[in-house]
This record gives sequence, structure tokens and C-alpha cells, in this order.
Amino acid sequence: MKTESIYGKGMRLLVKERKEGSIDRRCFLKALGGLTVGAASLPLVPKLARGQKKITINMWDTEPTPTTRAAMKEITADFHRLHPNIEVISEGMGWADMERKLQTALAARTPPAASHGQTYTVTSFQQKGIIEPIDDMINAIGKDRIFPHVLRWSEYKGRYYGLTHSWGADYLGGRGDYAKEAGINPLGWKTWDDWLRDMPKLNKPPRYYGLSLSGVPHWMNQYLALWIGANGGRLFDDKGNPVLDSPQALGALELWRKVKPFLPPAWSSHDYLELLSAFATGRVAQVFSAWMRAAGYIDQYAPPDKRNPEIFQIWPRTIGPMGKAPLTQFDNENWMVFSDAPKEEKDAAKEFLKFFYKKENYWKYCNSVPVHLNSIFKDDFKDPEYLGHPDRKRWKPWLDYSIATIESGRSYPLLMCDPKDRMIPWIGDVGTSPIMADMIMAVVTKGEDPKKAAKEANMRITRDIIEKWKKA
Amino acid sequence: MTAGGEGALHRFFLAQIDGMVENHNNYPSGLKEKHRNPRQAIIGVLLLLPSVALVLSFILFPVFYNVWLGFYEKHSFMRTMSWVGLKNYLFLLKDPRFWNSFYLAGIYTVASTALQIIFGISGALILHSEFRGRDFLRGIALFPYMVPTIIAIFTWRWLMNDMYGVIPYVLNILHIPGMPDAWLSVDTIMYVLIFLSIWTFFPFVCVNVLARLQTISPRLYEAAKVDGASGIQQFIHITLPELRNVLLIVVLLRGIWMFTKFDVPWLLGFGAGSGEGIRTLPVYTYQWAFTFNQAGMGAALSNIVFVLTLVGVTVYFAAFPKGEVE
Repeated sequence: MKTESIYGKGMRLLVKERKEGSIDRRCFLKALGGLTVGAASLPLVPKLARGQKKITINMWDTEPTPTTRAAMKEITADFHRLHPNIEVISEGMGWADMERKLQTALAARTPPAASHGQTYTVTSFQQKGIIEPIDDMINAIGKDRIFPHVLRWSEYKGRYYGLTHSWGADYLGGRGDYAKEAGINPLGWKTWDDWLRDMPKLNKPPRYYGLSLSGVPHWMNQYLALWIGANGGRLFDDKGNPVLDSPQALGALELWRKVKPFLPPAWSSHDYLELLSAFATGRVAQVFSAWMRAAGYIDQYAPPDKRNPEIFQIWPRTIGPMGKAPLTQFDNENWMVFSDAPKEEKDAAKEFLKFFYKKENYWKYCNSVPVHLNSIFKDDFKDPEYLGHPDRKRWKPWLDYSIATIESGRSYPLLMCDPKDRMIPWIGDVGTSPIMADMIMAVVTKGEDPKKAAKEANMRITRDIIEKWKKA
Repeated sequence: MTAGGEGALHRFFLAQIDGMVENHNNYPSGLKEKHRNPRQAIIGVLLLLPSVALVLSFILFPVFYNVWLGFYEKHSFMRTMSWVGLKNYLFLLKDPRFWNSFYLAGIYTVASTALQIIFGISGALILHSEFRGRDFLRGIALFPYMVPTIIAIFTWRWLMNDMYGVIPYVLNILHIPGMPDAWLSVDTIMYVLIFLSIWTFFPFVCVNVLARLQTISPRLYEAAKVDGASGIQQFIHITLPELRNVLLIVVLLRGIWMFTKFDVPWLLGFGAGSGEGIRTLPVYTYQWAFTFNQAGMGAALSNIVFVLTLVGVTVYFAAFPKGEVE
């Protein structure tokens, strides 16, 4: 009925215009043909619409930086143009927020189609069947093109349960100008003793302090894991039991005590971003675990003449008396696809991720924070266009360091001191809990006996996390 | 609006309420009967049902679910759960960290509530007196209470920061003896938490007390003056007794809110590191549920907090019975 009326109205208008001479005969015939075909096809439209069911998928990631959000918005809009029946709702949030949000969604059995997750989250979720393998997607993207060091952490019994969105490596950041002023050469450091020997020379309070560490439990746990790893030890044994009273772990606690005089007086209240600001503004000589994101802070807050890698250097991580090689953290949050999501949503999420990893889209994403979001594709690091980004060129020593860490093989995901730790499913629960942070505070600020504090922490981890996890 | 104007408004509302009560009492008896018509009563009940359903769904269900969850061992991410009865409660009652959190929550509640009351009453007395710029000051008195918590806390974190905070810098210049090296260390962060809470929440006390001050009859003060009472005597014998009922409610509300306050101590200390010094019961509850990922234990702990609050309120009402409203 409506079709007829539109058609009739159009016809009347067309005939009127032809009679008035507003359009010539050829135009009239063309328009008449178009109008007829259009009118004839109108009844088919609802049938086509019924055939293409609209799918809305939620994709949660851990990159809330405004530039990254803008890139994701552009990518999802481009994807929607190609797949009008799929709407991607992409949401970025901080780590901790993501874990809380996932917790609620999983409890309600309404997970997103896909989300980011740390390696320990992938381990824990795949063991409980919360996420599903994504080999088909990885193969479609190009498994051989991806850094093996990126892929190795999400493989369980020959199947892949996650794919890193982008990777990074943490580093010991140091002020080159302060080292010069102090007459020291940090690039020659090899052991904790070398490091501690020069620490007083880098400590000039209140102008600046020798070292900065965060007091947020998650970060404290990570520092401890890095130091234990650099001292040849682990947080857990092969069975996943905590071994915080091992000589290597006690040595790491002892190191914390020794660096304390060079930390700002309220170091245990500082959060991670405060460390980056303090580093950029020259209030600390070293930041123990910085990520490439620091470049953004330096570009924003450091004096213009100091915004370069000659001033903001990467210094060598040192090893403890029982260690053989220093340890670096590998930042590799993975895209995970949730088993509980409806099938069409899972398929749509994989389709979106295939689109996301296409060069023209993926580079938009990586370039949103150029020296922090490193591409997972080997060839990109040989591509002059990728490397030619002004920020990557300016911070090239940092980028070279990142590549060197994954080539060294001593760059492990968060809280892992050994590749075997990846299979421990409760490592994430230990990492977010304050148990190890309490132990550190007891030793470093309250002067408790490290062995006693470590034994208590072992007991708490076993009783409050492992035993409960095994029953879950 | 002047104090006199506000008094007039208050009298106007009282007159309106009196009028409504009088009108109701004057209803013809037939009309009262009509109110008891069973058909209308059923309609009334039906109309109330949506509200009752909402209350049951959004208030009572979560409460009962939480009580039920407290008897289970449940990992927050996993679907399975196992019945443990009172094990969670027995564990917590033997846990020294629970008692430490209870102690810290007590210190925080008592100190911050008492100081909010003192500063709130002082502020209200100042704002009640006549001076130039009073109206402007009344306008901005609520400002700290209106600032979003996250902004207030991060602003104070910056102000108190040991490396570039303005307050430690000024205190250092002044060479005041006994000042700590850092205000946000584990030993001193409780002072900052209390101070920050006073700054944020004292306007609530101030506004409530001010509202009551404006309705105290000036004739009481005039009579006291005639009898030769000093300002302090007037405050003790007139103002405080007149404020009694308002203060009873304000202290109760602020006490409950401080005891269950989570956002301020959490955002100030993140629960560990220096935050260990302000790991109050709500923070410890959150840690069990969301960092240890033990939902059952978190639920049990929040039930304990609920019971402790109820006990506190009962004791409070027993110790300070509500006086007669004149």
C-alpha cells in the first residue's frame, strides 16, 4: 500500500516535470526505469533484513588512553561498514577495572564476546573452561607472521587460547644527566652490589631520590617477582606451592631493605603513574619498572630540551648473588573469547579480531601510543614505514631494547619467574591479593625477620588462595 | 535569604501541616468509611505491588543473597560453590587481620565523626552569626561535600605528596617541630584519612546544625541575656540542648557512614603498602571479595560489618534516648 503510494506520488511528480519541460525525454525515461525497479524491489527489503540478524558484541580491552579509544572507534566503524549486521561495542578500561568487571559478568553468566586478559588470567580461565581455543582465528591472521615469543604464552597442550593485542617490556629507567653529574656509568652494572654501590651517588634528597617503587600491591608483587627471578629463584615451586622462604626470595627481601634509604619517604603510597611523573619531572633518578608509556609522560612533563633517550635512559637490570641473568616483564594482555557467549557473538568477535589485526587497522591501533603498543608481527619491525613513525624514531634505543628483551628469552609475563609458572592457575589471585605486599611491608618498614614474614606469607597463600582455588 | 525570612518560611510550612491535619480530622465520617471500601483497598494494594516488588528485588534480595553467600566457599570467577556453614565466620573471628581492621575502622569512625561534629557545629555557629559576606560563605560551605570523592582524594594525594606536595613543602619551610617526613607513609596515612574525611564531610553537619539554629526562638537568648548569661553559658544551656535531637541523628548517620566508608580509604591507600595503615573493615571486605577473589568470605565479612553496625546503633540509642520534641 505504502509502496504504491510512493510509486504513484513519484510518477505524478515525474510526469508533471516532463510536461513542464523541467527534464528532457532521456532523463524522464531513466528516472521512470529507476522508479519502477525501485518500487518492484521494495517488498524484498524486509525479507533481506530478516535474513541478516543484527548482532551486537561487547569487546573489552585494557587500553583506555584517549588516542587508543579514538583508533578503536575508527576501526569498529570501518568494520561496521563492512558488516552492517554486526555492531561492535568496544570499551577500554584499566587492568583492575577489567578484572572486577569480568568478575561480575562471569558471575552473572553474561560475559562479553571477547576481552583482554593477562597470561595468568588465560591460564586460569582455560583450565576452568571459561574461554575457548582460537587457533582458527590465529591461523587466519597468520600464525607464522607473529613473534614466537608472543605466541608461546597462550598455548596450552597445542592449542591457543589467547592472542596478544600488542606487547611491551618493562625496564629500569635512569636519568643520564644525573649519572653524569654523579660520575658513574650505570651501563656497566651487572650485579646488585654494583647497583647498590652507586645508589648513594644518585640520591640527592630533597632535590631527587635514588630510586622509585610503587606501593600499590600489584606493583610491589611484581618487583618482588623480578628480584627473586634475578636472584635465580621463583615465587612458586613446580607444584605451584609458594616458596617465599627460599634463599633467593629472602635475598630479594634483603635487597628491598637495602634500597629503602634511597626511596622517597612515602614510597609505599605512590601509584605507578606518580612514578612516571616523578621520573619525567626529575624528582627521582631511577624508576625500577617503567614501561614504554613513560615516553608520553616525558613528552608531556619533562623540560623540552630533555625529552630524549640520552637523558631518559634504559639502564641494565642487575642480578643477585644467586642469579645468572636479570629478568624482564613481558606485557602481553591477550584477547580471549568467552565460551559462555552465544555462538554468533563468538564468531562475530573472531571476525572483528581478524579485521582488527589487518595492517591498515592494526597500525592505527599501534600508532595510537607508538612506543608502547608494539606490533605482534615480526615483519613490521623491518618495515620502514612502521619504524619511521616520528615517536619510534625518536625513542629508537627504547624500541631496540624491547626487541632485545624478547630475543633474549628472559622476558616473562607478569609475576612469572620461570616459563613453567605459566601453568599455575592461582598466580593471578596471588598477584592481586595483598599477601606479598604485607610481607614486604613487615620486613622493610616494620623490621620483621624476613624468614618469619615469608613463612607467614606462604601459609596465607596456601590457606587463603590455593586450597580454596582447588575446591572451586 | 535572611534568618528572619527562613524563620517565616518555616512558620508557613508548620501552618500548612497544621491545616492538613485539621482538614483530615474534619472529614465527614462517611468519607472516612469510604476509605475502608474493600474494592478500593484491593486497588490500593495492587498499585503498591510494583513498589513492593522493586523493594524486594533491589533491597531485600541482595541482602538475603549476601547472608546466604556467607555460608559458602565460592571463588568469585567460578560457577561452583560449596557449603561451609559457619566456617567463614569462625575463620574471620580468629583472624588477627580482621581485628586489626576492626580497630582501624573504630579509630577512623570515632575520630573523624567527633571532629566533623566539632567543626560542623563551629562552622554552623559562624554562619549563623551576622557578618559581611555570610551569604556567600554559606553558599560555598557545601563545596567540599559536593566535590566528587575521586577528585577530592587525588587532589589531597597531590597536596600531601612527599616529593612535590604543597603542604609538606610549606610545613618544611615553617620548621614546625614534630612534623613527619612523609604524610602518606604507613604510620601517618591515618591522620591524612581523618583530615580528608573531616574536610569532605563536615559541611553535612554544618548545614544540618545551621538549619536547627535558625529555628531556635531568639526569645530564649533574650531571656538568658536579661538573666546575665555569658555567650558560653548561652551555648551550653540553650544552644546545645536545642541541638540535641539534630545532633543525635547527625552523629548516628555520620558514624554509620564512616564505619562503612570504603571509597575514601581505598582510593587513598589501595589497601596495601601505606594503605595497610588504613585497611578498615570495608577495605578488608573488598579485598576478600575482589582481590583474594573469595566471594563467600567477602559476603561473610560484610555480614559481620552489618551486624556490628546494628549493634553500634542499638547501643547508641540505648545510651542516648531521643528527647521530647518541644
